[in-house]
Amino acid sequence: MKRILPVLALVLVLVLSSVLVAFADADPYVSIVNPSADSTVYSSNLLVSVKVTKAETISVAVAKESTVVTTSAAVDGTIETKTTKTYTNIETPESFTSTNTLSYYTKKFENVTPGNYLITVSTLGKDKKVVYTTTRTVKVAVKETTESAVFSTGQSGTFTFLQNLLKTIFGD
Amino acid sequence: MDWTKAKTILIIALIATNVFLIYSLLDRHSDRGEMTNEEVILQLMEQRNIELEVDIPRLHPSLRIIQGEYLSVDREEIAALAQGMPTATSDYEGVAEDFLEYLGILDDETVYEETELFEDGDIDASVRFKNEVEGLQIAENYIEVYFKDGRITDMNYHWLDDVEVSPRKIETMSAAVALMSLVNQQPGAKMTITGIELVYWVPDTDMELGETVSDTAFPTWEITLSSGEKKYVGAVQI
Amino acid sequence: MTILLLYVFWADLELTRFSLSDIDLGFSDDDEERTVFVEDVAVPSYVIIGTGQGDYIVKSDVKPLYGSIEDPGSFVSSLLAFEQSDELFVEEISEEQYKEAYTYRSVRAVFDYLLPLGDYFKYKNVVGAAGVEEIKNLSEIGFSAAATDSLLVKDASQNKYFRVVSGAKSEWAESFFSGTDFDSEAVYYPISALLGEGVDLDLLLPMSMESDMTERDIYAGRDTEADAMQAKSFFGNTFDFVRKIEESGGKVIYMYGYGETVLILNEDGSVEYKSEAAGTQSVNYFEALDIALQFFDSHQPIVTGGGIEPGVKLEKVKTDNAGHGKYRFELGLETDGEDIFFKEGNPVIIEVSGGVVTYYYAERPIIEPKQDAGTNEVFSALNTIAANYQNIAAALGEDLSMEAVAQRLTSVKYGYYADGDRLVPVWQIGVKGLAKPLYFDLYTSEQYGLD
Repeated sequence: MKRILPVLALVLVLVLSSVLVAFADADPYVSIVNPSADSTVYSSNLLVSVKVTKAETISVAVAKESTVVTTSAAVDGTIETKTTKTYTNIETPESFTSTNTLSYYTKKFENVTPGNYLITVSTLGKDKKVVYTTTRTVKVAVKETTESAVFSTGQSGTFTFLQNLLKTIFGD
Repeated sequence: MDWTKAKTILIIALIATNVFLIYSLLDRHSDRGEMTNEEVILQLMEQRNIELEVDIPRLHPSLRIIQGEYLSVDREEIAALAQGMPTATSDYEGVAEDFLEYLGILDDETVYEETELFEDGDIDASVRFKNEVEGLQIAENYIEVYFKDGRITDMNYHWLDDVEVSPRKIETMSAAVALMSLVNQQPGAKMTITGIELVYWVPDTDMELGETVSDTAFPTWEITLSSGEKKYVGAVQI
Repeated sequence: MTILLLYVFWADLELTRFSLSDIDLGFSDDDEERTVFVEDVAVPSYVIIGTGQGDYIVKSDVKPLYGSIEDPGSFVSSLLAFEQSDELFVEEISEEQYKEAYTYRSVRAVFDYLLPLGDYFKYKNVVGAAGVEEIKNLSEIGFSAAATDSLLVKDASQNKYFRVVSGAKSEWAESFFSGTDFDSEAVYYPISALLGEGVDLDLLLPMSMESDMTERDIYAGRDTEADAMQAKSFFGNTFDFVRKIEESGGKVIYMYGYGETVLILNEDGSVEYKSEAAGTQSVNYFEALDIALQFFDSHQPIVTGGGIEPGVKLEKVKTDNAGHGKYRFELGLETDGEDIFFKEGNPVIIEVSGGVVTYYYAERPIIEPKQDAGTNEVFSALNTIAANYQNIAAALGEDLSMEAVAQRLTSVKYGYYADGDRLVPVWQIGVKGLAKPLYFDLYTSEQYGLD
């Protein structure tokens, strides 16, 4: 009993501080237009754009995925290791109320570190109860291409310059 | 220093200057040796089949331009005032003038032109006034007061009122040149000229205008043809 | 007696023949009296700063960033200094390369109006680099962190992209990219990012924005008592013999000759001037613009009351190089960097032909000074379009989805809309297929100008 309590407490703390993975259906009036499905964002900013086609209230949360390994001991002494993916909101979720038949919720999340993220759009009904949940996963990574690669033509700049200079002097 | 000689020279110089100035001033206000030009022009007229039944005016002084406001009198006011006017027997002119005075439009520019009498019809007499400013008539301007059984019945008008003149004068072109200009506009046409006169005239324009309340009239040569038609040639040099 | 005669001689001096060259257009040789110069007006329509992270900052009040050539540390000076550096050559690049370069940290000046590059260099006294004749007109010019040894140029008139390569990196660009803090500005994203797949459009929209713009009064600015004085500034010393026609509605028309020169003072305060005497001088774009601005400056309306006069900026330029060169400059009005939009189109139009102004139309209103009322969140541009997309589709005469409407957008700006005697803060939205842009309230998304 004494061992279980701290573990239970730990689990409770984790549960309260994280967003639970979807347990409701997706809202037919909600569509996450950015980022697109299975995409990777090469930036330290994450733009989230949600299309809402009904007058309703939504709450948008972006959570970073982290893996948690929990160790629990059974009564008989066997130790079980569970790997759980947990999600921590990078910011306090904002709610947005649409009053038209078409509205967009857009938000730029800054200083987003590379990793996997889960975007959850919860449709809130009466008493702020979650009625629908629409989600999308997105990967955030660092830009790979280097700046100087944009204009590389295989020859160094000075060489090209000299070549062009000769061309203008002697004609083509 | 021989003062006597100096004085003589000075007096001669001053007299010479005066003569020069007098000559210049007179020259400005007279025709400038156009007598010979006129003969040439008369010849040209003959060649072009233009008959002149009048002499071509020699003078064309510098004139001012005028700005006036189109007269507009309330029809009810005309009717009401007409009722209060005395009956005219033979003195149509007098009654008409009084009528215009009461309307506030009788001034130095309002000049009696003629009275026309009618036998049958809606009116017995029509008294016509012309508009004269700076010694020239304003073309196409008139006021007509109509009488029936001695009573004023109506008034028609096209009239520039409250005329203001420009501060400066402008040189005008001669009648001969104006005539040539008219002839050149319609080459080959036969014309018989029965009148050439300097008037003020509000020019025609291609511009689309709304209701005009004020306009400018310019010195213009009014050339009358034997058909009665009047042609207007601007006299102001541009 | 001589004195008397002399007096009469001079006093009697009348006007004899006069020609159009006698019309003194009232230009003062004294440049100090001028308030509008080519430098003030031949500036970018806006400047776009790319953060390199997919978002952008658009500045329509360009002067603080663009600067002036007197300031060597300004953006425009850096552009010219670059052009003047040794060892330059111009090479054409692809649209993909150009767009790729601008995904990095970048800064570029955008010119929405025609700007011939050759004339620009002549005007700024800069000798262009080898190959620069390939670039006919300047639509965009700027730097990207991808290659600070290059000036990137877009010529929309030819749909071509270029880079002007130098031997060295631009110091200004380097310090701008490393030193500038981009975070505190209103953020713009391309529509394609905001609407997702199905909309392929680079047009930038601000995400959320705060504004201190409020409704303001706008006056027509015509003082009928000053009509004669206004007219004299157009006709000079021939004014005494100009025909004056007054219409019952309040419009006054001044006409010289048989209509060779006409000046119309409209009831609404706008002024229209037409002259058939085109000049015979061959002037280039900037000389013509200078002539146009001098004319505009020297015919200020008579300002009464405590309002302010808006400034001008170039919106559109058309040129026809037949003969001695014809230019048509359309200018917009702005106040403190904020645009003022008029339903009928650009409020100032000046045509210069052969070095002489042949047409001039100007609305020259007076505006109530800006009241300090704090800032408020605006109705976002995207949601304004979302709330009105069906109206926009109806205006196009088609049944379109939001995405289809968005695909047709050509411009999104904000400013004031002149609605009668009030200026209201609005979004101005240009749509392909509509002759005129549409206007929506900046704070409520309600549409204006439907009547």
